[in-house]
This record gives sequence, C-alpha cells and structure tokens, in this order.
Amino acid sequence: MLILLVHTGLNGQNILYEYIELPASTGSTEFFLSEIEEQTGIVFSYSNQLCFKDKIVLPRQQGYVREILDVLFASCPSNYIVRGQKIIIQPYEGEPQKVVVKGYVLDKYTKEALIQANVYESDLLLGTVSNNFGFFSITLPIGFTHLSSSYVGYKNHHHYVQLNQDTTLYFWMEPKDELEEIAVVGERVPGKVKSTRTGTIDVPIEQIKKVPVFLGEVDIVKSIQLLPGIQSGGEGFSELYVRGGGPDQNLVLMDDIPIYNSSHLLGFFSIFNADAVNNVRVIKGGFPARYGGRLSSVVDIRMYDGNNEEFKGTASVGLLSSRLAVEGPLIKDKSSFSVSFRRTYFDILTSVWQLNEADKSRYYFYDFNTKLNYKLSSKDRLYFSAYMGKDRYGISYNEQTIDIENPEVPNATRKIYDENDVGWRNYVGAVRWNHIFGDKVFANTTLSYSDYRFFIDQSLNYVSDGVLSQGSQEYYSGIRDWSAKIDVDYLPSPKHYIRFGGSAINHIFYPGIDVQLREISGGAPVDTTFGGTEMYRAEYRFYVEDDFHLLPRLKLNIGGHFSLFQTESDKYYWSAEPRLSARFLLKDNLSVKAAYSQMTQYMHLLRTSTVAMPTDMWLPVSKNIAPMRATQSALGFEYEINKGFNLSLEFYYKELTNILAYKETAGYFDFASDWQSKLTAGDGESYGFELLLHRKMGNLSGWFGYTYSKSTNQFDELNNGREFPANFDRTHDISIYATYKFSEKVDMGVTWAFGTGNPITLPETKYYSPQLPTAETPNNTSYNQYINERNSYRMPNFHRLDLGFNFKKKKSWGSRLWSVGLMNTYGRQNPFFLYFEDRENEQTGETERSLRQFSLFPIPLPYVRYTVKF
Amino acid sequence: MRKVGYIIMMTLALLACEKDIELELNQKSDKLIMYAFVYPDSALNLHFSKSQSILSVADYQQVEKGRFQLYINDNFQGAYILPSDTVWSKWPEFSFDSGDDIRINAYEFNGDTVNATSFIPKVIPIIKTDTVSVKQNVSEIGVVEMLRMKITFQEPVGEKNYYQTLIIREGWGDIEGTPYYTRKTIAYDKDDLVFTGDQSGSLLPGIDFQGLFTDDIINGKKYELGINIPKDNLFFDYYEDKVKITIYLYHHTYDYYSYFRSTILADGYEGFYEGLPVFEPVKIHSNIENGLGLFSGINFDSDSLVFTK
Repeated sequence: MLILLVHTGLNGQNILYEYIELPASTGSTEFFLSEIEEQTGIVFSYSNQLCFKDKIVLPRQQGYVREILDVLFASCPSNYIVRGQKIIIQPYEGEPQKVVVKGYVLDKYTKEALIQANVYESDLLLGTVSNNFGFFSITLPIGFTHLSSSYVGYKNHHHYVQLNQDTTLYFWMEPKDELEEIAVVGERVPGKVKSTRTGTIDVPIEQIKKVPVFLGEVDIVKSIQLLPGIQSGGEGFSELYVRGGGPDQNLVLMDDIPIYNSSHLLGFFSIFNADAVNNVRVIKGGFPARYGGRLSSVVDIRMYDGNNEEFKGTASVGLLSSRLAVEGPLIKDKSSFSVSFRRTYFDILTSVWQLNEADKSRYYFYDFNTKLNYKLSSKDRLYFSAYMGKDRYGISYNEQTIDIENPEVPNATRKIYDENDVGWRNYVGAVRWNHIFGDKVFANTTLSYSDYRFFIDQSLNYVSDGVLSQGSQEYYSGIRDWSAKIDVDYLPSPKHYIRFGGSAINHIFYPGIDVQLREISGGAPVDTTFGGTEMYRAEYRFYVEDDFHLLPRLKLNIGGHFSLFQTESDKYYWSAEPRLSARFLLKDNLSVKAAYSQMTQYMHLLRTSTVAMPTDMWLPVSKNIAPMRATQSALGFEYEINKGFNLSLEFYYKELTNILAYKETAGYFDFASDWQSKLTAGDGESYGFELLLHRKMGNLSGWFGYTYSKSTNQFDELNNGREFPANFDRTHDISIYATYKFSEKVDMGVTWAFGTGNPITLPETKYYSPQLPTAETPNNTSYNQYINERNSYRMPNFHRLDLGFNFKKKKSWGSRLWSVGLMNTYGRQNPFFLYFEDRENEQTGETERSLRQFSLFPIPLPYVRYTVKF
Repeated sequence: MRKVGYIIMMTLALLACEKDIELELNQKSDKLIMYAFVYPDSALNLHFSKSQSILSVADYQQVEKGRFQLYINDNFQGAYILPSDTVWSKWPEFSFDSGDDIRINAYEFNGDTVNATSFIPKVIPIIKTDTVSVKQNVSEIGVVEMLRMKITFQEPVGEKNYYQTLIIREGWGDIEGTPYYTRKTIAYDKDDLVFTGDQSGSLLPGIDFQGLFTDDIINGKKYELGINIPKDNLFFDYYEDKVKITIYLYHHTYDYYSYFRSTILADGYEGFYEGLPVFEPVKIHSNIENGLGLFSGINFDSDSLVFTK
C-alpha cells in the first residue's frame, strides 16, 4: 500500500488548477493547447491516439486548465499525468480502472477524529463522509485526482494525487482562527455529498458551549431543546419531547451506549460534561436503519478520544460545580487518553452552615468520563471508555450519644445518627475495536455495559436497655445492560455506502427491590431481600442500509431494521422496520427530501408524575403490554444559502400505537396493584412543520427555529375514549440562538424561546364528598373535583430570554475565560404547574378561591464561571 | 422521607414564586349529586345536592325541591320528598336484606333526574380469629410490640369480590358513677400481600388504602389474613375497665370499592412529594347515571377480642 501524504494549498497548487482566460471560445484542439502552453508555460505531451478536432466551441473562455482539457477531450476521456510543468495526456482504453482511496479525517493538532466530515472529488462530483471514527473510503478512477475535505470550523484541506493504485490519505484539518464568512464557490461542497437524511441536525459543539447556561453549567441537552421540533418538559428541565413523543422515546447514546437517565438534580441538568463531548447529532425523523429501539429521536453523542500530540487541559469553576478535563498522548502516535471530572459543592457549603445543627443534609452530583485509545496497527485501533455519574441527597438526624468501651478513657461516648440517602447513578463502560478489512470495509465491534440505578438507603440505630442495635434498609430500581455489537461500513463504490450490523443485549430490569439488614450488637446480621424480582430480557437487533445514487441527482437511503425481544413467557416480540429516505437535488444548493420510517420500542418508562422524577422506572414489554410502535413520514427542503448557512423546512406526520399511560383511576404510588394493571394502551398522532435557519460560521452565528405542531392521543380508557391533546403538545414554538464575536477576546450569546402553553387538565366543578361509613381515617377534603375533559386547558405561554458573555484572554500557559450572564433576563414568570387555592381576602375577610400559577426561577438569575485552558 | 421532600420543597421555594392567574373555565351546568348507603336491617341514608363551580368556596349546593323513588327487587316502594335543610336524610321506614337489588331515582322538581342501582353483598363469614404477640421494626420509631391477628375466611370461587378490613377499639368505664365510653378506628399495619401487592416493606411507601383489597391473589381460597395492631391499643386508659377490639370484614360492591379507592388516590400522596401537584389528576368513580356520587349496599361480618381490667 502506498501512503501518500500530499498536501498543497490552492495557491501552491498543481498546474492543472491554474486559472486561465483564453482569447476565443471557438478554435481547434491544437489552438487551445498552444494557447494554454503559451499562457502558463505548461508543456503537453500526448500520443497520436488522442482525438483532435478542428472546431470546438467552449462553453466559457475562463476556467481551470483541467476544466478546459476535460471539454477538449470530452469525446475521448483521458488521464492527465503531471510531471513538473509537463502534462502527459493519455486517453483511456475502455472504462478507466478504479482504485480505492481510504483514510481518516483528523484535527491537525489534536489528531481527534472529525465525524461526518465531507470528502469529495470536486471534478468528478464524487464524495463521501467520514464515519464516527473519522474513517472514509472512496473509489475513484486512476489518474490525477483532486480530493478535498471540508468540516465546519476548519479550513478545507486538499490532496492532489496521481492515483495508480489503492491509496491511504489523511486529511489533517486545521481549525480556523476566525470564523470566516466568505464562502468560495469553487470550494462549495458538491450537492451530491449532501445527506439523504431528513430531521437530522448536527450541532457544532463550539456553538453549544457558547449558549448562555443555567447557573453556569454548559448543558448539551438544554441546547438541543432550542432546536425546532424539540421541547423541554418544563422550565429548567433537561428532558426532551420530540414531535409529540414522550421523554422515554429518545435513544440517548454516549459513544454508542444507551443512557437510561441522562439527568442530574431532579432533571435540571444533563449528565454530559461538554468538555468531554466531541460531536452531537440529533435525529428526529427519517431514522437510518442502524438506529432502533426508540420511537421519537436519537441523540448521538460522541466523546473526545484524546489529544494525540500534546497534553492539554481545561479547568473551570462555576457557581454550582467545578470541572477538570485533561487529555494527551500516552504513547506518541500510538495511544492517547481523555479524562474529565465534574462535581458540585452544595454539600461542602451546607456542611459549614450545619456545623452546629443536630440534623444535617447534603447533596452532590458528579460525572467522570474517560477514554483511552490504542493504535494496534494501521488497520486496528482499540478504544476503552467509561462514564460514572451519581446524584446523592442525604440527611443525618436523630442524634444519639452512646457509651463506648475504652479502658483508657472512662465514660467515653460518641454520637451516632440515623441516615437517609436518596440518589441515582449511571455506570457505563465499553471496549471497542476498529478494524479495516481490505480497503472498503470498516468494522467496529463493541462490548458494553450500562447500569442505571435509583436507590433509597436508610440506616437506623436503636438503643434499648443500653444495647445498641442497628438496622438498614435499601430500596433500589433500575436497569442493567450487557451488550455485544458489530457495525460494518462497506463502501464498494463512490455511489454506495452500505452499513450493516447486529447486536445482542441482555437486559436486567430491577423493578423495585428491598433489602433489609438488621444487626443487634453481638448477634449475627440478618439479611432479607424481597419485593420485585429481577427480570432478565434478551434483545437482538440486525440492520442493513445502503446510501446510494439512483440517478445523478437522486440519492436514496434504503434499509431495514429487525429486532427480537424476549418476554417473561420466553416468547419473543419481533419487528421488521423499513427505513427509506430520498434526496433529489433541484440545484446544487437546493434539495428536496422525503423519508419514511417505522420504529418499535420494547421498554418504557413508568412515570411518577408529569415531570421527571428519579423514581421513574424502566420496564419491559410483557405478554400483556405490547411494544409501542411509530410510523413517521417527512418531506423537507434544504437550501444552502451560503457555506455553513442553511435553511431547512420540513413537514412531518407521525403515528404512534400502543403508547402507554396510567389509567384515570390509578397512580404511581398505588403499589398494591400490579404495575401492568395500572396502565392502559392507546394511540397518538403528531403532525406539523419545522423551519430552521442555521448559520454555523461567521462572527454572527446561531439559528432561528420555528415549529408548528399538533399532537394528540386517543385511549379507550381515558377521557371517555375521546381524543385529547398530548401532554406536551405545543402549537407554536420559536427559538432563537445567536452568538456574536466582537473580537478575539469577547463574544456574546443570546437565546430567546417562546412556546404555546402546555396542555393541562383542570377540574371545572366540585361536589360534596362524604365521610364514608367504613373510612379508617377522616377525609382530608370535603369535596371531590370533577374533570370534564383531559388536557382541555392551556397554561400561559412560555417565553424567556437568556444572555451571556465570554471574555477570553491568551496567557503564556494557554488561555483563560470568564463567562458571565443572566438567565431569564427580563424575569418572566413561566408556569410550572397550576393549582386552586382558598385564601382569605385581607380587605373583606371573606374566603376566596382562585387559580394560581407556580413558577420556577421567576427572577433574573446571574451566573459566572471561570475557565482556564492549558 | 418526609424530611427529604420537605428540604426539596424548601429549595424549590427559594427559587420559585406563585401568583393568581385567570383562565376562562368552562361554565358547565350544575350536576346532580347523590350518595346513598344501605346495610341489611338498617335504614336508608341519602344525600342529594348539586355541584358547584370549581372557583366556588362552597362545596355543594342544596337541592330545594328534591324527590326520590325507591325500588327494592324491582318493587316500587314509593316517591318521597327530600328535605332541603339537612345534608343527609335518614329513611328508617325501609328495610333491606342481604342480596337485595335496589334502585333509586332522584330528581329535582321540574329539573334533571339521576338514577342508580346497587345491591347488598352477601356476608363473607369470618371462620376463625387467632392472635399472637410479635415485635416489628417501624421506621423512625424502632421496635414496636404488635398484636398479630389472623382472620380466616373462605373467599368465594368464581366471582370477583371486594373487601375491606376495619378495626374498631371501644372502651367502657366509669367516672364517678357516670358511664364512660370511647371509640376509635385503629390504623393497623397492613403488610399482608392482599394490601401491599409485591412492594412489601418498601422504603418508597405507597398509599394506605385503608384496608381495601380484592380477591386477585386469593380467589376461591380459604385465606388467613394477617394484620398487626400496635399493642398500645390494648392498654386501658385511666377510666376504662373493659376494652373491645372488633375486626370487621366488609364485603363491598365494585362501585363502593372503586369510589373509595379513587378518592384516596385523588386525595394525594402524603409523603415524598407532598404538596407538589405534578401528578395526573385521578378520576373519581361514580355509579350515578346523569350525575355524580355513589350508591351502594354494604355488608360485613365481625369478630372481637374483649379485655377486662
């Protein structure tokens, strides 16, 4: 294998790319060749087999040498071999032989893989994109070729290569110092490489980092909520509601591993530490066949591999937490690592305040990410990644002083406390092996582990007749996955990008298990476990898809996703889901896209309430609970106004079946009933359109998004069988995000979001509620409320402005960054929930009843964060 | 756990505010409300009223000219005028037996009519009652001495049945020649599987359904139901000479069970999320056609323990 590392800029370029202007547009082949030789000093060499014509009419008099040669020898396609200032023109005999060019697109300085970078041959209009590991492969005719790569935020990189055999190329992409505004037409990414995907948004991580942030915490999920078609569950929450779907219908992947609870602090923050994130992709519709298992969206998050060249770090201190991220090479050009850690310090502050308190409370969360990679050979690379994160809230109370036996200290005592802890945690780990088979096949094999658990711990001390006995009790629920997965990219020709693969997952669901341990001093501990039993469920998935050109302007992605899921009776649910998307180029920068996809979901989140709670529980389908299914169709237009500046409009229609809800006469805390009996299945429908104007480059960048949508549900056992608005149906949704770079040192970010108020169910009448003759306890209330219609009212509209500034300064050791801002800048009181309340009128003394709104964060909240990069 | 919820609520309170808002609520016409309960060999108790707007301070509105008709086993018993100055009216002139089917039509003179049917369930006899002393861990209290009562009954096969166990403590004594009497309902520990499902002992406590249960896991079985009564209920107070603990095994109708259960659920959950109205509202069960409320027959068997000083 010949490895070429040829790199030239357009100015120090190959002579084939000299720009010339000819004196006439009509003439003989000989005339034009002579003119080129005269103007450029190029010497042509050719055989007598070359087709010469007496009269040729050029479409235009200017152009690159290569373009003019292509026109002159259009009737006898030829290969151009460059030798210094000499160009040898050799006509092909029959079809030109083809060779494979493969390689990686990488950051020039960190050697970090650049995901979804374009790689294209601009003369032949052939192209591909790099995969999640930066790998690409493209088949091209032998001869001279000009291969380029482009990636937002980086300068384009070009290779001018004489292809004689299969070749490996690396694109070392250089980040732009400034975001350039001017797009060079000649460098425009050809339309042919534009994706077939609808409903897919790649958000540059650098843009995400500049979004004004709640309490100074950069939050990827909150930035995603600003995209059209995606909503938050409520003010401040990090949940995603996509196109009428629920929060459990989103497949959140961290380096290919599903994350089951991606939130901290009751859902106010997400678990993704932005310092560790390399790429974020959100798919709302037109799902490629490689994804499956959820109905509404895929949030595909890729973490940094680690700088391969030098040690780098970032440290940051904020109001809520501090972060540290370090990366660097372990073995030069062989191995690198990336480690990041974030932790809050509420508990440290509260411990100071509570020094003299008898009862003490504490809360913290942390995230730990690490990734190691090792290059085994030019064709093999090994990755190890891990994530650990936990939220823990605890209280110590019931202080007791007990005697301890110490012969040296008479009457020695110590204090003991009863303790309660509540929390949840995610532990995720994966080992991945990349291997390149030949030149056209890239395989990624993953073994992964994902463990989510919610827990309540209680430890109690009893002192009776001077004897201390201790008891502890633990409740936990969660889900643990072991999985093996292989994904293969096969690029047989530039016109096909075939992906196929499969996975086997062993799920273990913990539906709520109690462990009791009681120990009496001097006695043996007694351990008791009871409650819900572990549920083992196997899941198998297979997929195949091909992204290919059917016609020069028509590109299709056709695939299928197949899955099997085991139930408690060892029977399997199955699904065969067709996936189709198509893109037709109306112009080089304007395309129309259409997509159809089916999705199936075998597990669901049993919600505690209308907002996210850690007590929400993942449970599998069963013989009584059928899988949820969705069918989605979309039609969209995409217009590239300028390089890095796109306008997209997309219409969608989505149908959901077998979606689950609690019955109207059941509730989460009704543990006396079997969980399956509390649920009822129904259907949903969602349609609308989404407009996104997205500018990824320039001093002024950001996006404007607008969504019109309608989402409804119909359950036979809810609302008397009548259709009703889905819980987070939002008719109008506007989001604006803009960041402006005043100078190298100062930039500003601003977001404004507006949304129609969420639907809410309100009672309209009240009526007498008697004390029942067999009641054990008296009624808390003397009336019942009557609900006429579910979700028939709307909360007041939501809107909020956030503002932030970043002040950057270069230092000898790196740089420092001050981030300051104001969330909810104009102090909008957005509704969190509504309720009725009886209050006494201070003037009349009469009791009055009114509808009241509870708002979270109703005042402008400032934030500040200090970051250093070294 | 209440402390956890309390501190979370306090944190939220620091970052939150409340205010009145106005929404145009639908002005639905008033609905007629009826409640009626019948026991074997006992009088009919009936309530008849109208609903109010949710923004009203009053809980209900009296019906000025209410009437009702009664049918027992399809036999018309007559039409009667309901008094408008009492919440409940008592009708001792009717007598009911176990198994009776009863229908009531109630209406506002020149107004709407509601109707409801129910029956008096058969008694499910208590076959045997045993007691034993046990010790039990109770969160935040420690070890508590309990009286474990085991009540055996035969659950009828082939039919869906709804039950409730209720325990009443009565005390008799004398204060300087004046009879002294106390009565209270005992909140006993419900750890039997018929009450808890499979969540027994959970640190995430569920709602106390006040002794209601179904035959889901005991259908057709001779079942020994266990309940724990805190032993302090057996102690005499200063004036008491005799204490009687009576256990009632109620056999309910589906409507009574469903209404009772749904009102407990709607009442909210007193625990971790207390005071945070972020749950889907619960629909209160009703068996009143064209209106709201509940009409049901009730039957029971009982057994008791008597302690004397």
